[in-house]
Order: sequence, then C-alpha cells, then structure tokens
Amino acid sequence: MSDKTYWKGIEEKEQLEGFRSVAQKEFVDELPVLSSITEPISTGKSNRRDFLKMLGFSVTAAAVAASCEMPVRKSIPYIWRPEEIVPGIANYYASAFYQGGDFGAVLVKTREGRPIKIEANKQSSVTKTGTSARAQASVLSLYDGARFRNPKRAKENITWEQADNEIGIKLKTIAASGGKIALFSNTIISPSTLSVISDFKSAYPTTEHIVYDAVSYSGILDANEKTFGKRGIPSYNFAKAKVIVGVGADFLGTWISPTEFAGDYASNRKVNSEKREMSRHIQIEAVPTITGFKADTRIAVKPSEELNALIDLYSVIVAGGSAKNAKVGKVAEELKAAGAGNSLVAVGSNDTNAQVLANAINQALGNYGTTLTWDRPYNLKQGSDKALTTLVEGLNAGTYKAVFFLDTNPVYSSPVAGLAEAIKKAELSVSFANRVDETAVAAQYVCPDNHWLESWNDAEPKAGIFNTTQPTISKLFDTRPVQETLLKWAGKPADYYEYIQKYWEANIYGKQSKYVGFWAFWDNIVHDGEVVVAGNAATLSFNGAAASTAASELAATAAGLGALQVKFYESIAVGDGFWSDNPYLQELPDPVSKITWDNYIMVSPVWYAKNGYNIDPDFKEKRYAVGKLTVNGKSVELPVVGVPGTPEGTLAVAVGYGREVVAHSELSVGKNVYGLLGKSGDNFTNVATATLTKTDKTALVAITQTHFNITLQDLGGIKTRKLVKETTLNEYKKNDTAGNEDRAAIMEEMVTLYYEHKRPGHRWTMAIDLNSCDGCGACVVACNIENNVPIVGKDQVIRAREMHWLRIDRYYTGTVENPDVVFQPMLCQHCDNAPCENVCPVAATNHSNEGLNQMAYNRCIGTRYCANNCPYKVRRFNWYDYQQADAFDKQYGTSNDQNVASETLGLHEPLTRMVLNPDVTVRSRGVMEKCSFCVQRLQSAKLEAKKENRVLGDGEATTACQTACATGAIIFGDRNDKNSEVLKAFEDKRTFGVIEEIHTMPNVVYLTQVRNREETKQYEIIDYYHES
Amino acid sequence: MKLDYILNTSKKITLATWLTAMLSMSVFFAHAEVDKGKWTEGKNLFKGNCAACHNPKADGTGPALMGVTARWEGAGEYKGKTGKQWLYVWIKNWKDASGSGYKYAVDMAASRPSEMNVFASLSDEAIDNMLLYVENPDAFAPAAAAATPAAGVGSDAPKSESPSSAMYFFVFFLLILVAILIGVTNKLDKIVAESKGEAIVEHKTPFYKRTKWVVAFVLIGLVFLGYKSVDWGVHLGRQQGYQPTQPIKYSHALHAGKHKIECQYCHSTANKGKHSNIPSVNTCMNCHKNISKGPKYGTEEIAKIYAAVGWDPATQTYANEPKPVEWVRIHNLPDHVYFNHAQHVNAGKVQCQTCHGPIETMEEVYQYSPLSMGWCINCHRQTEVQFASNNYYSSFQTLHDELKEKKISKVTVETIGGTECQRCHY
Repeated sequence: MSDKTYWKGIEEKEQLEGFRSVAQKEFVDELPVLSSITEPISTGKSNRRDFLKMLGFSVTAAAVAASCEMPVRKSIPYIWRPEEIVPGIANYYASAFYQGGDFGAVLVKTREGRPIKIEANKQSSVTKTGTSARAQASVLSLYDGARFRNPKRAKENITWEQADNEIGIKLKTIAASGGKIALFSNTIISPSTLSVISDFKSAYPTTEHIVYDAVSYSGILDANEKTFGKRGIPSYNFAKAKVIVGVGADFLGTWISPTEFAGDYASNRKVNSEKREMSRHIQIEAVPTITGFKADTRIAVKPSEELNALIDLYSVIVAGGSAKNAKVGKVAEELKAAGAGNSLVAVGSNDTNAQVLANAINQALGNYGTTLTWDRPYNLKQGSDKALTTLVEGLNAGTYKAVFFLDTNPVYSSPVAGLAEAIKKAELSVSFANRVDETAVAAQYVCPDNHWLESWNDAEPKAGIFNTTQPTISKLFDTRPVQETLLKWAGKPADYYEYIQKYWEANIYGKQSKYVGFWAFWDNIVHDGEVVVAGNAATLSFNGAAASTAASELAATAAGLGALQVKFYESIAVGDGFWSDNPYLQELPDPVSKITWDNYIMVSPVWYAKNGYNIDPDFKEKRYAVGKLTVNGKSVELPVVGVPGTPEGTLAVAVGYGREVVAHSELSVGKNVYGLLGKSGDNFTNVATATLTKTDKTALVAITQTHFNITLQDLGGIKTRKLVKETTLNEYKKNDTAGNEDRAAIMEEMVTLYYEHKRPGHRWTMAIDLNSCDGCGACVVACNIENNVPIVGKDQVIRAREMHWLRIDRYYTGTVENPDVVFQPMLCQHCDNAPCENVCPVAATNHSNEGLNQMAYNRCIGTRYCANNCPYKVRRFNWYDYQQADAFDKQYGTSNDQNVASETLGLHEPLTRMVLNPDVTVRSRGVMEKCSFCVQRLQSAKLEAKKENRVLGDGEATTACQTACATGAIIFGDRNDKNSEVLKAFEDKRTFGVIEEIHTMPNVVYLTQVRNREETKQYEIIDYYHES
Repeated sequence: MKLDYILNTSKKITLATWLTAMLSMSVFFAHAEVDKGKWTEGKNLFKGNCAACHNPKADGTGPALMGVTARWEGAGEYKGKTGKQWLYVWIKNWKDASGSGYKYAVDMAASRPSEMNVFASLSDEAIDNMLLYVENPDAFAPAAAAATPAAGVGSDAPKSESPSSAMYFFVFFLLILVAILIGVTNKLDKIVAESKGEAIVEHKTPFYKRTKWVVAFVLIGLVFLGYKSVDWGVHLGRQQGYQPTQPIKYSHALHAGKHKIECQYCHSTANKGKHSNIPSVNTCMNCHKNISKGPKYGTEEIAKIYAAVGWDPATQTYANEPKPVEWVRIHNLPDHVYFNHAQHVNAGKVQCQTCHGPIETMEEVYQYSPLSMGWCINCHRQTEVQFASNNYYSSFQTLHDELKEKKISKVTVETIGGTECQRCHY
C-alpha cells in the first residue's frame, strides 16, 4: 500500500499553524456578515435590544413588502415567430472560435435567439474532444457592457457614414501621395478575410499586411523556414508517439493547439485491463506547467539548462556524441530506443536555434512522416516578431502614413517601447477592436468589429481543414464586421456573407467531391461546421546544414544567461492578455499555482525561504512579499510566491496581466511584463537574466490551494484517507488493481442495516480518470456558465468564498524541488449515504431516486450545517446576493461609452443577464448551492427521449464539465444501463471512491493514475530524474 | 318543583341548540361524508371526459351539473326506469335517452345547440363516482379552492358557492337562540334561588372581564389569527381566479368552444417545448386575413390584430409598422419553479383543461387552478405515467417486474420520482 503523503502546499506539508487553524473550519471567517450588521448599532450597551429592534423592523418590512400587489407581468409574443425557434428549446449552431492562437470547432447553444453556452463540435477533425476555458468564457464577452456601441473619432461618437467618409478621404490622400498603409493584425486564419485584405491591397497598393502574435512563435516558424524551406508549423500527432519529450513546451496548456493536443495525448494514455500500454512522457522544463505535472518523468531545470538539454539531445541523437548531463543522456537513449518514427520532441523555446535543433533531432529520430507531418500544417501562428519593430520604426520615420489594428492590441503587448507615441505620428490610425483596449485609445478612430458570435466568418486552422463561423445573434450594437469595413473602404460591394460564399465557391467547393452543387455543399458545411479537403504533401525535404551552427550559437546563448533567470509564459486562463477583462477567466485558479486575479513571480520554495521572502512563515494570511524584478534595466514589482517544482534560480512570470485600459479598474490586476521581453536576433525572447530585490511592500494574493481542504492529518491525514491513488505502468501490467489494492477490503465492510435506495429508472454516475485529467480548468468555466455560478471577486476569493461547484484539487507528493502532481476534479459526490442530507433541519437537501443529491434552494434557510458535515467540502454558501443586489460590480465591466450612464453594468443589468442559463435558478443570498450533475441537462435529455418514444441512449445525457473536457477524463452516464461507458468505468479495477471507507457511497468515482516509469520498491522513486 | 323542572328543561334546550349549531357547523366545514377514493376517481374521469364542456357549478357548453341527480330523479319514472337510471342512459349515449321519448331527455336535447359526445364505455360505477364528484366538487379540493385571490388582482372569476348563506343564517339563528336561552336560564336560576331563599351570587364584574373568559378569548383569538396568518402566508403570491383585462377582447369560448379550433393550432409549442407559446400574430392572420369582422365586437378587436402585424386591410398588404401585442400574463410561476409543457402535454398526455379548466367556455381567460405546489404534488401522486405506451419507460425493468408480480398496481408520476425536489426546482 502506498504510504506516500500528499499535500496541496508547503503549509500543508509542514502542517503549519496557518493551515491547521483554517483547515479545521468549513468557513474561514466567523460570521462576518452578522458582525458587520450589528457593529454600528451595537456601540451602545444592549445587544439584545438591538436584536429585537432589528427583528421588529425586519418583520414589519417583510410584511409591508409581502402585502404589496403582485406585479402585472406582460407576455409579448413574436409578430412573426421564426420557424426554428421554439421557446424553451435550445438550438445549436456549428461555429469556429479563434482568438490569439486558440482555435476551437464549437457548437453555440442559443436560447430564444441568444447564445448562452459553447460546446465542443465532436465532428471536428481538429478539436473533437473538448473546448478550452477561453472558448467557454468567450460567450460572456458578447454581453460585455464595455463593448463599443458605435464608431468613434477620438472619444466622440460618430456614425458609420461619417467614419467611412472621413477615413475614405484620408486614405485617398495617403494613397495619392504614395504613403504606406499598415494593416497590423494578429494571425488571421480566415481565408476569406485574407482575400478581403488582398482586395483592399489592390485598391490601395501601398498597403502592407503585417502579422504579429503577442505570444510569439517566430522561432519555430523561422526554424522551419531554414530547415524545410517553409515558414509553418507541421502537424504534431501526440496520439501516435510512444515516447514524448517536451522541452519547455506546455502543449497541454497553451502551446500551439492545446485542446487538440490534450485529446490526442490522453487517447494514447488511457489504460484498462485489456490495454495495459501507454506512451511515455518526459518533460524538461523550467516553469512548472500542467504538461510537466502530467509527465511520467519531469526534469526541473533552469531556462538556460532547457537549452543545454536540447544541445545534449542533439549531440547524442544527431551528432553521435555524448551528453554533458547524464540524465538528458538517458532521455536521448530512450528516444533512440523507441524506434524510428515512434517518438516526438516538442520544444517551446522561441529561439530559432533551439527549434532548428529540435527539427534535426526529430528528423534523426525519423519522426517526420509519422508523428510530425507536413500535410496539414497549422495556420494558427504566423506572426513575425520583426513585424513589430518594422512598424514602430516605420511609423516613427513617417513611412507608414496610415495604420489599422485588427484583432490585436500591440500598445499593450509590445515589447518595443514607444508604439503609442509612434501611432500619433500617423496621419490615420484606426482600431477595429470591439471593446476598449490600449490600442483603441491610442488610435484616432475606432471602427468596432462585430463579436465573433455575431458574424459570418470562416477559418482554416490547418491546411485543407475549413471551418465556418456563423452568427448566432443579430448584432447587439452599431458595429460592423471588419471585412465589410475594409471592402467598403476599398470601394467593393460590402456584404461579407456573400463574399464568403463566393470565395468558397471559387476556392474550396471544387476541392471536394462529396456534394454536388454549391448550395448543397454550403448548406451542409454550415450545418456541420467543417469540411476537410486534400492537404499539402506529407513530407518536405530536410536541410540540416544550419544545425551545427545552431548548436554552438545556442550554447553561447545558454552560457550568456546569468545565475538568476526569468522566463515569461502564457497563462492558461488569460492568454496573451486579450482575456484579462473576462472575470470568469480571472477567477479560474491557475492550474499550477492555484492563484486567481493576479500575476506574480513564481520561484522555488527553497530559494524563497533562503532569500527571506518567507514573510508569513505560518501562512496565517495570504500575504506575500513584493519583489522588484529587473530585466535589462526595466523593472516591475510583483508578489513573490514559492511554487513547488520551480527550479532554484528560475523566476517565472505570466504575461497577459496588468491591462491598464480596461472597462474597470478592478479588472486591471497584476502587472504588464511584455516590456521586459528581451531580444535574440530578430525574435523576442521570453528568457532573460534577471535580478530580484525584496521590497518592503507586501500584497495579498487570492490563492485557493488549501481552500476546501479534506486532508486534515488529525483525522488520519491522507495516509489513511484515500483521496488519490497512483501506480506505475509496470505494476499495473502485473496487477490491474495496482495502487487500488485496499479497495476490496473497504468494499467488504460496506454493509448497512438500511434498505438500499430504489433506483427504478436511471442511476446517474460519474467516473473521472485521474490518468487523463490534466487539470486545465475548462470544466470549471463550463460549469460556471452552464449553472449561473457567480463571480465573487478577489476579496471574496481571499476569504475562501469562491462559488465554483467544481474545483480541481492539485496534490503534490515527493520533494518540494520536483514533486509529482495528481490533479483531482472535486465536485459533489452525490453520495448514496450523504452526510449533508441527514443534518439539514428543513430537508432542503435530499436524495432522488436517480441517485442525485438534490438541493432545493427555495427550501434552504442557510444554516450551513450541510457544508459543515460534507467530507468533500463541495458545498458553497451565498454570503451575498452575488448575482443581483450585491453583484461583484466589476463582473462585466462598465461602459466606456459616454452615451451610457456611468453606473456599473453588473450581472443584475439586463444586458449581461442575457448570458444566464434560463433553465437554472439564480440563487440569492443566504442559500447553499452545489453541483447538481447538471440536472437541467439530464431532465432535458430524458424529455427528448420521451417525446420521441424511445429509450434514453448512452451519452445523450451529459454534464457541462464532461463536454468541455478535452482529454475525455470525465465519463458520465446511467449505471443502470448495462451497455453504458460509465458502468464499464465504474467496474474497472482501477476505480475507487474518495474516502469511501467512511461509507458515503459516492456516485462519483475516480480511476487510479498510472505513471509510465520504473519504480522498483513500493513508491520509493529511484527514477533517475528524481535525484536532487 | 315546577320551577326546577322549567329550569332543567331550559338548560337541556340550550344544550341541544348549542350542539345542533356546532354539528351544523362541523357539517359545513367537513362537507358531506364523501368517499375520497371514489370522489377522486370520479374527478379524474370528469376532468378527462366531461370538463371540456361541463363545469359542476357553471353553465358552459353544457349545463352546470351540480344537482343533476336530483333534477333527473325529479323528472320521474318512464318505461320502468327511474329518472336516475335514465341519467345513466343519457350519459352513456344521450341519443338513446332522447330517442326513447323520455320527456326530460327530449327537452334537454332540444335545449342546447351543441351535441354531447357519446361515452358508451363508462360503467354505472364510474358514472356514480363522477356524480359523487359533480355533486361535491369542493369536498377534497385543495384549501386554496376557497381562498380569495391575492390582494390587488381583480377577480371576476366565479367563486365557489360553498356552504349556502341560508345555512349560515341557520347557524347564526341557533347561536342567537343559545344566547337568549342562556339569558333565560340565568334568570330562571336566580328565580329558583330566590324562591329557595338561597343567597344570590352577584357577579360584580361583567363576564367579559373575568379572567377565565379573557384567557379563553385571547387563546381563541390567537389560534384564529395564527391560522389566518399562516393561511395568508401560504397563499401569498397565488393568483387563482386572476382575470386581468387583456388588450384584445379575445374569446376562447368563440374560437375553442364554438369553432372548435384545436388548442395546439395556436399554442403550437405546448407539445414541443417548455413554454406553451402565446401565438405569434402571424398565426392569427392565417384566418383573420379573411375574417375581419367578429360576431360581438365587429371589426374593432380584429383591427387590433391588423395594427399589431402591420396589415393594411384596404390594400391587403403588410404595409404598416408592426407593433407587438402586450398580453397580460395570467399563469405565473415563481422563478425557482421549472415547468415544462411538453413534459405534460406530449409525454404525459395531459389534457389542457386539466390545469387550465374549461377554457373553451371562457370569454376571458382566468386562472382556473391554484398553481400551488400542493396542487402539483396531488396530481403527481394520482396521475399514472404512460408507462406501457411510451418506450422510454421500457428500461425501467424493476417497475415492470413489480407490475407483473402485482407488487404495485400502477406507476404514477410519484413512483418514478415525480415528487422529488429536483424534478421542478433547479
């Protein structure tokens, strides 16, 4: 049996005072609500009197309020009811989401004509398994009060006619004088938009389309140009690779196409009694990522050592030499032993030399053609770092007379200083942003684009794979698709819908043979959302000439880095900063650090203690010392947080925070670190030598890692409480109950005097495969949106009052320097013998005959006994009326528009309330809530079956978390259905229930995590990478 | 002693009158002794078969039925059958009764323009049960049936005429009698005492100031007020009988009653989705393009449809700016209640009238049912699901087995969990 200890943070590992005092309580604060009410009055003598006064007042007030007349409600039918809209029935439209490199083929769920939820398009050949957290949250930005409501000149509102006239005149003057026009954009994957741009270019031949990505992939693009003669990114196939080596590439979280990669990666790592094989994954990384934490073996090294490791791999695999680092030498041997074409080396560095070496290694391993193919290269990242410098220099020199910004915010994200001032030198500057950002403020004109849910568009994420985006709501404000704006200025017919159809008829229809007749083709493709046509040639010839120079140059780069190095990374939640005004994503705890609403300097906990940052050694409050990070003479002050798994000498900071021009100052959290990016050749580099000095300042950080803790040692601790179980592949091969051996004994003790619950119909059950879950958090955001879970804001998160029904517990085990990590999604376990049900004095929570632990909000009186008695700590109390009167008023931002009054547009405002799911009650203050297994979705699936006079099929009733999960870790269904997937999972030998020994009989079960590495003695890791 | 005798008699009469008064009251409030099972069965049959045209208490397409048994019995014997037996014949197939020449039936057939349906399959027992319900429609109705609608909403809905006012007068009269008799008895008491020369106990304080009485009054008052406030609290927000004035004087009696337009012709989504839609104006135009004049209001009300949809009757085109009709919503549920029409209409095969009442007789729609949780739950306890006919339930193996083994006799909504919290609250 495992005697490993698991811990969620240093405070738990060391059982520090701050942890122990809080962990014993369900609620961190002592009834602060009552004290805040009574304090002003109770400055007098008699509390009893005040109490009676308040009682009297509230009874009278309630009586007066209640005796008021019932409101007269109006019911206004359609004049012409659209054929496809049946009130109360959701429609789904296939569409494609793309923002800042994050692509997802999705279905948009609309109710009565308004989009309320994003689901994965399971027919897609790219992201068939799930969605990202950002795609889920993007539906909220549609109803963002901070969107532009009309075109603007400076801060003044103007009409489209005025904008077209004024800009048209300026464009003509500029074109006549031969001045250059810069169309500056993020990577555009829409072929029709690119065609619009080339039409615009033919009208204004001095136009240059400059592509720049804030999170740069220039290195990999340039390396491929050098070695394959093609500036592109080949298709990575993680499903086919038997040995995967990642070097600083967070391919499950943020790298290139993470949703697709996570699905592929997990598909090759699912095991069961029949299939006891999985890929082996080794991650060499400086910044701890979910990819590293999922790896079988993780080697934590400094950023410079990532580069040296790559050189070692190159020396052994390509050059036939030896490795300086023995560990890396063994990795190289493993790669070689995997056999030709069976491995995959993914390198995250933006250094062209590093990527050249990666290509050489993959070429030597024979991976091109199998795990890496050129038939469908990615279009998701095409930007060039040079472009930004060109733009700033061109604007300053006056060569660019006009500049347009499309789907990009370089004033915020530019590492090159002075862009905002340079823009002012242009004769014409226009931003197409649809909500306020730094670049829109700097530009003369704002010609707002539609939101992606309001527009027709198309996408080609990979060569030959075309997706359509269709509008799911008519536009809310006086905005216009940017394509139509450009066509209009170019003097062309400005109907983008027709334009796309014409483009598809001319360029895509002919490449397929399935549909005869364009309209049959078009209608079917819009319905399905995707068409796949022939791609490029599968292989390109490799030219390794640059490799040896690259190796020596890279060695020099690595050697040039100092003792303390900083690495800037993209966070899973807010990405390049585009999403940092989305509160759903801000409140999503970072999967690695579990910190919300901030960026921070991630350091090694050992280094942290050694260098005196440990100002709160007992973790009594979430207070951290602020450090001053200096890179290349520029500095920024951020809280310093020790995160296990960060190597000593490494500092890691996320980009994407510190947006200054956002709708609300409270959404402007953290600091902008783009300015600190260094340069290597033409490319920006996210690695630099840094210094860190401690300041006298401190900061509260909303870290959730030990919230809702269930591992208290006084109760036996995790040594006896079985929260997570692990084994190794070797053990599992020998015995399919490996790691789960104790379950048989536990199940034997499952005897009861009571009758079993009757389950005449369905028996809803969820199984979560810990081996697949990568902790990315898409499920958390999907759950929030599906179930109207409120955002509470940073201050409330610090008080452990986040309302998430589903959290992802992250357990460390092993050493602080390089721990193993298990991610465990934790939600209401729907216990058949639920401790919460017995203690409710009003029976507001009870059990259904389908196995659901039900929560009746209208019955709850808020005693919170249930939360106290819940061993899994999954019940959430509404301390405030979070969704209405007390709504976190920065939830959806205020309007930046002078036309709109300056009051906040919280969730209680009609515009933003349009995102609410009408099938789910909005909970009010004083009631308890928790996961309902998406009962509204279950009821709806059952009704569909009844209406169609048939049995409910397996997989028809789904939960929101399950559909969002890209790795397929969440399996849900009816256990009474003999053929269901969930029954198979439930009866798997790896299956266990969390602390089921206390006889809660949960309906949520977990499957043991299996790691593909050698361990001889029980759980004493002798794996060579885990030496200190 | 003669006086003693008179006193005793007086006391006995007082007691008897008191008891009679109490008994009458208890009878009122308990209504008649009615068998609940039979009554419920009768009610369900009535709702399923008759309620579309009949109401126990109000004239509709068919006549009000309360007292129907007495009326037929009063019509006398004919061809060896009693009036009541003729009623059975009439209910099963009215043509048999009127064809036989039974005068009451012939008159009845002539009295109404519409023909009654034939119910040949109803057993005498079933008819008995229905009559039991018809004669005592409020015997087991939810408390709300007699409740007044919430304050502030005008109600012109027919109110139940439970215990007739004559009965109230009777009880009132008896109680006054008791009071007089108590006075007489007291006087007699005094006279007897005087005659016997006993000391007369003079009460210095009037009875209403005596502790015993005060305590009794306060207690009774508290109980009454407590009951009332709980009752009031329970009914808060309920709007049974709510009948607001609508922007268009649309008559269901005309459309659904007289012209027999299928409910779901207009309310077409009741079968498919959560909401039963208020028809969009284009649905009205399917007929009203041609029908521009109604029987009662002429062109006035139909012109409002035209205004809403932007129809110009002169040019026969949709020429004008449309302006939606703002109907006043009658059936309101609290936000925390999920109700789905398709579940009931499509999956459950429930008649519209079961909840909405005799809608086809309503000139103006009012809220027929209390829409209280008790009312929902009652129905869920009694109503059987389409267990045999809907394939969805074929996977409910344990219940099929129990039915076969006769462990259970039927599968109601409650059996499959239809009274659990999260079927309606989520």
